[in-house]
Amino acid sequence: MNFVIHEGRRLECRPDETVLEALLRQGVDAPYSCRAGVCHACLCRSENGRGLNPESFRGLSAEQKADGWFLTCQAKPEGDLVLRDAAGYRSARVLSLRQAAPDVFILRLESRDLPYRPGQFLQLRLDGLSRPYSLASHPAESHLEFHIRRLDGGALSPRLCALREGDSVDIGEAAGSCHYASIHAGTDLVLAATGTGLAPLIGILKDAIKKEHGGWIFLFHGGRTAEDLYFDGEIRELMKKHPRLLYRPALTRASQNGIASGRLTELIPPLLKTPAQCSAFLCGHPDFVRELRLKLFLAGLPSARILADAFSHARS
Amino acid sequence: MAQSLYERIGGEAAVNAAVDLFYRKVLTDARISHFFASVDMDRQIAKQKAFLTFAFGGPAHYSGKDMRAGHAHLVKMGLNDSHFDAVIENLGSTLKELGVPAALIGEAAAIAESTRKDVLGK
Repeated sequence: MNFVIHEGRRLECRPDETVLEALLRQGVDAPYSCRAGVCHACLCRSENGRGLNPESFRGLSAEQKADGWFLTCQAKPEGDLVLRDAAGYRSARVLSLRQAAPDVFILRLESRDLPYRPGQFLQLRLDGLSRPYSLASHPAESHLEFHIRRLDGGALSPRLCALREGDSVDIGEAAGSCHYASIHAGTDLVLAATGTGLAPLIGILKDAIKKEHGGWIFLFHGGRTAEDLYFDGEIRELMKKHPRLLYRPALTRASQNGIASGRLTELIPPLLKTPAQCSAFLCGHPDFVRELRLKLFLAGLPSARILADAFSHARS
Repeated sequence: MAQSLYERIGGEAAVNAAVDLFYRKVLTDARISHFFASVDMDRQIAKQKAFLTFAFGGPAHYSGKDMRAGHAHLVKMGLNDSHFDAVIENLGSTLKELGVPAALIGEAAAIAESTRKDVLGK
């Protein structure tokens, strides 16, 4: 029997168990979401990660591997595994909390020079409870921004949505590989989100604008009713900074004020004139991401240029 | 020493060029698409790369046992010779589209063919 050493406790890890399963079974409130090695919400650091299976490092950079990062949902240790205590949490002060829709809040925290790439996510932790949230801000901005959907009965989100200026929240280290890179520079960008999946795409959009992205940028935001298009005004401000940014909201319930009606998974593919020249960033409900990803791929987008952040709706 | 098939066909770059084309073909081939539908796309791409590397005579670590275990659930779903033929056909048309000479396509198809019994659990 192998053991996982977590905050001084020796927890057994059965031969057929992942590290995540072992932690959860023994009462540790370990973060996770997709359980498939994709979302990186379970990212964790070990002191001695050498005895781990290759799947433990899916999608991680050489740097992250060298720093001991691995995915608990994929890891099956071959010996005892020592986890580092609470991966690099630091305290951050609340600058503001603004209600942008009946159930969506824009939370701003002081940045304290946190290193991150736009589009990445980190854990927000309050009273020992943590969940991954995507960053909507850009490192050039003086604050960190998060879009929080308040889920009735949720464990963490109602508390986050009740924060006041001056309160403190713990923030983990930024992670995730859904970000703008040089391979996207000469392409047209398709940014598509449902709900608060918009947050990381706003970060990516700001980055593309800052890097003077040469091609078109199509930003699609899907919701049920007009209230779900909670970032409309800010997006229109960003449009002034990039002449080739097109904003295309769509609503599934009521069509209002000339806003397109329908599902983004149906609306987007026929709009793309040269799919092979596009890059796509998708975020939102996992079913939405899966379906659109497949459709874009079949339409001709190269698989390596369809990036997805598939976990935003698993948050509570 | 003669170059290996993998070198002649273009190595890893050829695998990368072929993987999207090939995966798109199997996903839209009504004869076999249902065998590929339920798996996460990242994993599926990784699997197709491993398969293409193998078919191109490249560094792959497949054993007959892996092949059997890896496809057992598909055999239960009804995977048979006609489906195997369809995959080989898609492999051939992918390579043809990429301008690979017929002789090399034949070699790759023969390597893929060598796994038939294990894949189909015979």
